[in-house]
Amino acid sequence: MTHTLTADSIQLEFGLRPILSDIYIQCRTGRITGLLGRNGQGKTCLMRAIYGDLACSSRSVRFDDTAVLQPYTRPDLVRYLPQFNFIPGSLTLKRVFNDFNLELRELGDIFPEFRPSCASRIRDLSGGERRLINIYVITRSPSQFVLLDEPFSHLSPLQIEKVKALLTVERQNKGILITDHLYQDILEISDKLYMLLDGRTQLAKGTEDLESSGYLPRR
Amino acid sequence: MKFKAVIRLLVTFYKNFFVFSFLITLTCAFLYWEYGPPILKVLLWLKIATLFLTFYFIREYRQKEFYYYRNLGIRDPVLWGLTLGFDGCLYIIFLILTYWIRP
Repeated sequence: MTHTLTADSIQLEFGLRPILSDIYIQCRTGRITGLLGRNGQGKTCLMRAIYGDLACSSRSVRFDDTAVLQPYTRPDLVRYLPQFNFIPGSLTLKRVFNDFNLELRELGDIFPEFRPSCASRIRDLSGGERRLINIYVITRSPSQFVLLDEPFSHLSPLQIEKVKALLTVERQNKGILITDHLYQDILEISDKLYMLLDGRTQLAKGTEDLESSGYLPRR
Repeated sequence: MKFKAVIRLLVTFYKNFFVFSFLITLTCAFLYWEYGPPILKVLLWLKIATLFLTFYFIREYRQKEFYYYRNLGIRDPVLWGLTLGFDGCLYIIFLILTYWIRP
């Protein structure tokens, strides 16, 4: 079944400084939606505004045309991967996978080089492995949409390729909104791309639009 | 989400401050044993103050981990309300027990 996530009318200011003002984003099941923008443009704020855990002066987030005021209370609708690792370090891999109703052996099928014991604690994993687990549990858990904020940070090029393959498979079941500074990877996997510039979203079609908007240096 | 899974998550969160909070509870029970009812008001305020401190430090230093619970459908007020509520009940039970067994 196809679901739609639409976010618009989002207004966010920090003091007198407007951060988000003219936003329109639509995600759909079966589609990876990319979001690019320079540092400080409000990409994370936009993700958190959609997730609902950042207070905004106005916001409209709709799932299949039904407004949801606090999407973060509905993991069946949306899950959010922040740009930092959020899984408590004291938990074991087995426990984390139990909490998210996932099979640990499936992780080994996708990432065969990554085979820590199920009793390994999150804090004992390397930075890249921790990031991988954070991405995996959010991406694989049942939910209509996932919001991924800089998922590729701390990952090796090989892991990035595998995460991209994972996202490509998972988009069959859910809609994915992703932002990262590795714009080439975002361009490669995105079916639709938004640029965030001066608090506004605009559709981008390729590198030409990224150059003309000032996100990429002109060649 | 299953009831058992929710309890397990609440226990995980409570472990963040259980040792500190339980030490405060034991200290208060000891002081109540020593000085009796006249000190009760001070002990209650001491516990309330340490609960506020706990709330502040966990929110400040474990902020990132709240996304774990949110992604599993547990809202922050539920997390705080149930764990602090349980801790408060434990405190009251210890004071009542001290009152009963105090010579």
